[in-house]
Amino acid sequence: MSAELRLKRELLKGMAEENIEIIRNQPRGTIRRERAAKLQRIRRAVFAGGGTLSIIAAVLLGIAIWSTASSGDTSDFTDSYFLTPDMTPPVAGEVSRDLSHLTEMLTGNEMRAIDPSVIPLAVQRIVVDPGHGGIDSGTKLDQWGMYESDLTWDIAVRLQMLLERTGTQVIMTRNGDEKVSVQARAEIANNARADLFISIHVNWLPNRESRGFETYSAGTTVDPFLKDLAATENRGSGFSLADTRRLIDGIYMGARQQESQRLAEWVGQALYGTLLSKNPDVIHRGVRKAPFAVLVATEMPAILAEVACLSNEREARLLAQPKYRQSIAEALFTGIQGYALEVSAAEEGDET
Amino acid sequence: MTEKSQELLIGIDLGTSQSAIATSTGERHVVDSYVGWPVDAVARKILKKDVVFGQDAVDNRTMLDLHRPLERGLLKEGSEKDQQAIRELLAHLMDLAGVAAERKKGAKVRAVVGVPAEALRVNKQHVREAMRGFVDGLIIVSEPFAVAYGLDALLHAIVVDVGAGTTDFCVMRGRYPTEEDQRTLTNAGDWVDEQLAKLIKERHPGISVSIHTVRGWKEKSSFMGKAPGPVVVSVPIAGKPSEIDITEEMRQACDALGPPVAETMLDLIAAAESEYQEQVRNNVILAGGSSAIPGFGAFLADSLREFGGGKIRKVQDPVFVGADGGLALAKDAPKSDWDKLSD
Repeated sequence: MSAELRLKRELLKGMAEENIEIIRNQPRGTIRRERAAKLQRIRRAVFAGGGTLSIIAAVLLGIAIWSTASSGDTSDFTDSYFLTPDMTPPVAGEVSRDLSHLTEMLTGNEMRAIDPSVIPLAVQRIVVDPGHGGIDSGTKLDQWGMYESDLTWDIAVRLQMLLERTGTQVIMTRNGDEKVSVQARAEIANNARADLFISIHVNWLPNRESRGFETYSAGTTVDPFLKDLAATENRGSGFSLADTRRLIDGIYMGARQQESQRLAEWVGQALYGTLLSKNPDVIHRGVRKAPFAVLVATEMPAILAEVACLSNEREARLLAQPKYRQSIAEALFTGIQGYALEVSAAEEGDET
Repeated sequence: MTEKSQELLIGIDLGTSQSAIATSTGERHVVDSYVGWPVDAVARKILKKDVVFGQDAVDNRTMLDLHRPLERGLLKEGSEKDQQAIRELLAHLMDLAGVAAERKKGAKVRAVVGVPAEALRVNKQHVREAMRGFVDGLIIVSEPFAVAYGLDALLHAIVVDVGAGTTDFCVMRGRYPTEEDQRTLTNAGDWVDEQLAKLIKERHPGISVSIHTVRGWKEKSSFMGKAPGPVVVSVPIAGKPSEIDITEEMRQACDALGPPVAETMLDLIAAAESEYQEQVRNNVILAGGSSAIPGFGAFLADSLREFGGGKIRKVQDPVFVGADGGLALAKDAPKSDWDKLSD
């Protein structure tokens, strides 16, 4: 992002904050002060020991303290970017990570403070990919004027803001409502030598009663629905059939497939933990594999998250709410953060 | 591509003297900020209107209950009629720009409105209240900030916006302007009019002219420094049309505007980080209708000389620069922010 764009964004942020404060009748600077105080509380709350589990537990401790401290603050403008206390047990399906054993560690006294920079050490540059855009609006609910491309852009920008506040460099694959081919999106990520690639999509399922979210990493599938879904998303990707075959062959050659799978698990877990309190009917549809071209062609751990079903009326209504979209962004952020902490801890373990 | 739900973005410069609107559909309109209601049935019959706006209202002021609802760039408080006037003015502006029609067709209207730099919170809330029902989302910004943004003068620049009701200053320092980056003076176009009327009255106690007439003289013949020629106006004295020379009064009234504006500008530049002051001095943007007084820019440039000199840049289109800046902000504001700021 150019310096001018960054500056403009800062100015626009200040402008919005001032106006929100006027509406709320709060003194000037309240939002900034609140944000600083929250970050301070989180920093104080993050402790760590030497291993992976204790670092994760420390994050959860921070989350738990933060969630308690901010309970009742459900305004649209909250800056909480950590999990709700409901994070732990995943219901079922392919999500196997049950972190309840970690929460038991929260009472332990042996945890030591960690340097918050552990997060950027593992993941410094993330490409956020808002699905669709421009003439390709993706799925849509015409009667409500809701378009997948708008929703993914909104959530992506929210995620970008959350990530940038931690010092992470974020690169967006599109700069607004514009069409960018899948091939170009992958090239953006590869050229930027990004550490992670997060593609955001909204689902449309033939059964309008179906709802929930799912996360994908690259892989083959025998599920005819997923084959169709991948074919739809890959249409107009810019890759030839031969390219796609070559790329699919390539994904088995590196360790990144496993890393992508891990990232998809973390994000799925965080989506469930965060969204359940806002949407009790939410269903974790699983952590899946499918040959989405955008995941296949990227050279770093990459996932695609179908964050909700626009085809389901209840979820469409929720998606129309900024607060819900913010919750989705917070969940994505938390999943990324958890993955980054895990990778950091693993690297630390390798060194010792 | 499936057509997306329509969105109409607008920038409004709500000015004491003139109010301008610019829209994302390319509409641009300006109206003098006067609203008048016919005083009786006869006046209504002659004027053939229930409400009269702008110069039309000034020209027919004897038949109207005339209001100028913005005083020193702010909505007047306490007068129900003035509040009604501002809503009529806004409705008129929206009609001119086709905003109301677009809204009826289902477009979401999102507006950025510029107000004086040091407008109080309560004034901003009055503007918000006045705009209720006209737009779906509203952002209020300081007028000189809107000007700076519209001109891409985002860093190491100072905007001096000399309007009718106020002169507004804003230093751009790479952050959203805080109170210390902005100032508002009530020494502006109207203040010059008052000075001029007072000076004329002192020299010619027998004459009686309205402030509207004096304003007209200023708009036609203002200058700072050396007079380009004699300023002679026609005025009735004891019922007899007479010509009087007001060159000296014009010079004194206009010259009086320079020092407080220059002093405030220098004060704000001096408050900027020392390593950037030279850049700010070389990036002074002069905006606002009253900045058109001949010699004003030269006066400010002279005042910068003893501090190392600087460059004064006059905006190309002082009438629309504020509304255009508001429109630029409206276009760039993220959708998520609009969601937060929508009714």
